[in-house]
Amino acid sequence: MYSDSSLEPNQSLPLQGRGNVVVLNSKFKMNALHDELAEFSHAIIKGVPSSLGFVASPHYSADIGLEVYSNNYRGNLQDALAGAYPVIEQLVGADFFRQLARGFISLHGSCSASLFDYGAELGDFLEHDEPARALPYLPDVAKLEWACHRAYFATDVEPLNLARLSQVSADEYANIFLKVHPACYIVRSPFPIVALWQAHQPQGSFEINLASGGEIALISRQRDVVNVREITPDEAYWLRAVIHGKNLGMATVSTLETFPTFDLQNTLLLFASLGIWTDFTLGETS
Amino acid sequence: MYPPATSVLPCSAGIGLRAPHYREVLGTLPKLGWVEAHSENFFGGGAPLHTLLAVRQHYAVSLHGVGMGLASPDPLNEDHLAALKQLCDVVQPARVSEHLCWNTVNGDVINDLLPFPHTHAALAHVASRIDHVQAVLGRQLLVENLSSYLSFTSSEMSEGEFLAELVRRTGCGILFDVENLYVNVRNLGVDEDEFIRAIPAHAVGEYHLAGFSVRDGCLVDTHDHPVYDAVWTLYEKVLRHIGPRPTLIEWDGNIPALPVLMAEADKAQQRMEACCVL
Amino acid sequence: MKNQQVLSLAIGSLLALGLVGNAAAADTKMEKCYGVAKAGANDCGSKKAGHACAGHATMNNDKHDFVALPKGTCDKIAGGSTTESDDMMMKKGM
Repeated sequence: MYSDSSLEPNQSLPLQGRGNVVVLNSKFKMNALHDELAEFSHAIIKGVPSSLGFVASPHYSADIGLEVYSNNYRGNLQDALAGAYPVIEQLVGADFFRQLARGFISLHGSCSASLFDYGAELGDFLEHDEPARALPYLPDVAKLEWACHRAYFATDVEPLNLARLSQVSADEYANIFLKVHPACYIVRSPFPIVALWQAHQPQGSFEINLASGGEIALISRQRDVVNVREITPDEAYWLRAVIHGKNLGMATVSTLETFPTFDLQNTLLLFASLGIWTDFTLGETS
Repeated sequence: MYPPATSVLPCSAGIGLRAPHYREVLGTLPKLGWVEAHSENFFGGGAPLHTLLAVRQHYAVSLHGVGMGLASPDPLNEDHLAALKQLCDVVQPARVSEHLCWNTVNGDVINDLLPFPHTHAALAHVASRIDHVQAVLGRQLLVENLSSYLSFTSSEMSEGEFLAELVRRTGCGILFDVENLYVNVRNLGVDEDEFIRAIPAHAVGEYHLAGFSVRDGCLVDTHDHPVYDAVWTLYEKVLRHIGPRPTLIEWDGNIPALPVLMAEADKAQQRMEACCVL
Repeated sequence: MKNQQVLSLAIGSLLALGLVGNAAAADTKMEKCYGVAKAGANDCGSKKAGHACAGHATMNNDKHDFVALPKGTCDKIAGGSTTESDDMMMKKGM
């Protein structure tokens, strides 16, 4: 309890500040700090007037101050969601999006000091949100948007060093493990999510037939630009195998078993042209 | 003790650089004293970082953090600090600053700048964290006074005294936000003269100026208006007592056209120069 | 071995074309790109206080005041919703 602090002898400011006694002493005081701030944050997150006895203003009621913090908390998270999910917001409109955001925020607090990390679970949330279920493609479009958002902020990585690759002898090719850029994501859907997403980009077209079947989206980044494109099931199957740690030989054999017409050469070149490869190592698939 | 900076901010007025102005600033290279950017928006790679590095080629940059939570009860987030360190290594900013606030308790993050009681225990806690941040960054940190909507009755000293003691214990500097002081004077009855007297002038490395909104009698630090006359008057008083320092116009909501921001910066510049003449 | 030939051909062409993801090399038939200047989310202004959501009812409390229906570009997508909301859209004259 924060009343602990009043039980402590009022410590004078020690210059060194780190002796054992002082640490012990300030531990009690830290508990007091912790308890007050935990109660304060609870009031902000819940957004309800509460009778916190330890905060005040001489000019207005503590509830007004708390409400400013509470609105700021929710407003910042809502803006972060709108920033990460511009297509979802356009699809459902601002009013519905605000309602979605409120529901989401009440279930998902923030756990990062950067707002760019907030909102990862919106796709899963939309699968269970009753009003949103009228639009069954929303969860997958949200997952695609989240992948774009993460790709945009992914760390820069040098592209594959071809000179180094050229040193590998051909009989070792099967043992190459390719490393994939951190901005690379695959999102698979029973809906045409790439077409849905592209419709909302400049010069996008809304001639979309939802019955046209599913699409697999590949998200990648070249320099500063995030690309979204549809890839085929065999390309996706092979890339997943590579991402999950299969060497080129194993990934290719297993893909050919499922997709006999799989074209490794085109696939490898396509992904290279998208800047997906960053490095490689040699070895057997374990 | 750490050197204040690897490069220096000119003692002139700068602006907070926000996304709507990137293209214009890089395309026209307007005459700006310096710019400040929010550190967290450039963690990672890609377009944001590349843009900031392009800006850095033409202007001195100050990195202003909003997420370190120097006073949070939870342990300092070392990943966050490592990301800031990495950013400093590539950007080589003239200044690095954080707010005197907290944002995390029991793993819950509130993405805002929250007040705390200015107690002796909090002072020891914040000082040890500033020590650690400065050691990791290998440089001095400027710590900014906070705008608050509530104060804690358990405080044992004023914010000015708290900051002065942080400077004495850690060698950190102070980012003196004049508008934040004004907001606290109006909201919480803070004594502006006591605050100005408490602040060690030698430690002040930067000023901030911005506009606020009023709601139910509470001044809210919205950074979405021009600087009000009362804040200009307080700035002039601060200049007389502490002296001119690099001064920033912050504008984060309803961001105006670049010339409007630059005109605000000019007003600060004129006041700085008038102060030097006197 | 066939697999060996496939691999040799593929890596050989990668080396020959020198492709590692230069923008110029990207294939042209895709692709809509993603915003080049996304706004910074991390601000230090209390930017919400001036917005509508900072009105007197806290955002939490007006949760049940009304139930909005999706009313955006989803209306442009043929067959884009399940039955319940299809009905609503029909009534709106979609």
